[in-house]
Amino acid sequence: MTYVQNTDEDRAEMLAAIGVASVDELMEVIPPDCRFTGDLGVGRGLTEPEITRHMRELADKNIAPDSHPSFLGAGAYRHFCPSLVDNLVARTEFWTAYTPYQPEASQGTLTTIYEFQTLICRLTGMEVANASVYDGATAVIEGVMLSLRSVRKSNRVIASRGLHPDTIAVLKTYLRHIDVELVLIDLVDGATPAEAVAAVGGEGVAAVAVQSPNFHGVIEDVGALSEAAHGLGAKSIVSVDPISLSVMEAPGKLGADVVCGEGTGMGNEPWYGGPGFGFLATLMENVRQMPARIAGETTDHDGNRAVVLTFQTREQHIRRSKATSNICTSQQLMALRATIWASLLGKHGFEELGRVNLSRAHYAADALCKLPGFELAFPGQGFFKEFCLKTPKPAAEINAALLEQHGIIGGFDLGRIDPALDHHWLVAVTDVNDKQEIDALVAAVGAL
Amino acid sequence: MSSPSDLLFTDSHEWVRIEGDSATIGITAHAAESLSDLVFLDLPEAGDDVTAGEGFGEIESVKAVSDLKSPVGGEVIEANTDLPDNLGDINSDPYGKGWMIKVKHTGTVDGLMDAAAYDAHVAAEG
Repeated sequence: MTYVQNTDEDRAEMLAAIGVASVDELMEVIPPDCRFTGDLGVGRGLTEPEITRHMRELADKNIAPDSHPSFLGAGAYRHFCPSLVDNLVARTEFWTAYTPYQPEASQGTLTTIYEFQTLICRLTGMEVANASVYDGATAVIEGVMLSLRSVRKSNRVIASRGLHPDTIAVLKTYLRHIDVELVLIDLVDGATPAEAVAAVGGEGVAAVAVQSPNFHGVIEDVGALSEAAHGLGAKSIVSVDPISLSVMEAPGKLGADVVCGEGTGMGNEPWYGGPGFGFLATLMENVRQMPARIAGETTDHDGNRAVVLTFQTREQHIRRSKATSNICTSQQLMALRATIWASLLGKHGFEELGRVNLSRAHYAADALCKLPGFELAFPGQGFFKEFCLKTPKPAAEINAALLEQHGIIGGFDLGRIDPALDHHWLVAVTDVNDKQEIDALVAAVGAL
Repeated sequence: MSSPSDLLFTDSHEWVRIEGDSATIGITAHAAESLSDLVFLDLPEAGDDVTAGEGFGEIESVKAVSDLKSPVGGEVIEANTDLPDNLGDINSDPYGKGWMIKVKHTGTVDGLMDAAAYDAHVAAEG
């Protein structure tokens, strides 16, 4: 077989079949003034060594978190990932997320899903998790849809403005074409007031969705917010940074009905914005409304432990338009990375990782707040690995100067979300930022 | 096996017993047998409205999840709340203990089959 299948002979054969003499003749239907006749300006063809060097030169221009110190988070975070994760996921058995139409033939794949679900349940304090969804935003939305199906006659959803702005945008997209009202709760001193949730009142509230730590890094009072949700007859949906669960109470122990979030920090990198994965977990009372795939444990006819894909009767390929969700697959490889990552860290390693994040972020915040004009935007609130600073000059200017003068990728400029917050700087510090990097950041900011 | 002659039937295998303005609704022996092992039943609550020809709940077996369609429209006055925990009753006594909801029906009752027509419908479906 020839490597380039579109040969001169192939083209001649195709042109003969449709009865035109040349490719130019084929294009004559396009008006002449719409046709490009100049030189494309891509230069001559390059040899493999030449193109490799060219691409390397282009790549070297990148200023990326793996080549420069970075304090940018805002939903996508870097954490330590043992190289063994790359090695294990490269096994050919894992190269496809898909199982055969009799999925039980893939006991290995189903076992990894089952282990992932077990991990998520233990972290979140929930009773059942699915095999993952596309991303953190989808996970929140699927939690909302689950609640709309579970809570009878519901047609309203309450969401905190502390959710990631992308999550709110996706939520609006989903709810736009169904008859559901979205009530957004403003933050007060960086947090979602439980009283404001309770004050929404009325009938038909399916869910109250919050994020903790929220987009401004503030740890929310999940217990009080869940209580306010239950007071309205609604489900409490909590989106969490899974890494924060190393040092913080599981939302399931604070009254949450659905715990979900973006899982990229576990064994995956932000890369170029993805791929990541969303995790979604809930209580058994909602299991029949859970979207996407769930691996369940059973025994085969010889009494051996076996894993099945359960509730397939509610999935799209069987239930068509009546399915619980249009999702009938999972971010299998990313979820597998998370599972291997967590098993390599172990319980103590995971807790240690969390403490490192917590202490480095607080060390950085203390040091930055000693600089003139810098202070915590919400000094009364707790934070984990990301915090919001008020800055003496626009955050965009600080970021530009850090990058140009010091090769440091600064925090997130909140003015990009809300022009009124252009002097607000969201700084993420994780275990990949050592003390030297933090000290360099503080020195650089101090010198601006 | 012939279906009870005092009932009316839908082509989606629900039965209804009309007594004045009260309508008791369930699924037929043929439906129960076809679904085989039942695992879950979701019914409306008293006070909910149902519409003729539209879903009032869902029933799940090891094979499939199916919508339950109401033969009549009206207000649910009682649901068989013991039934979700005793799904075997639907298989063993579909026209008795396997009843699902009682509806105070409004409007005309039409488009339903009698027992002979329903049995022919089942035979034709094969």
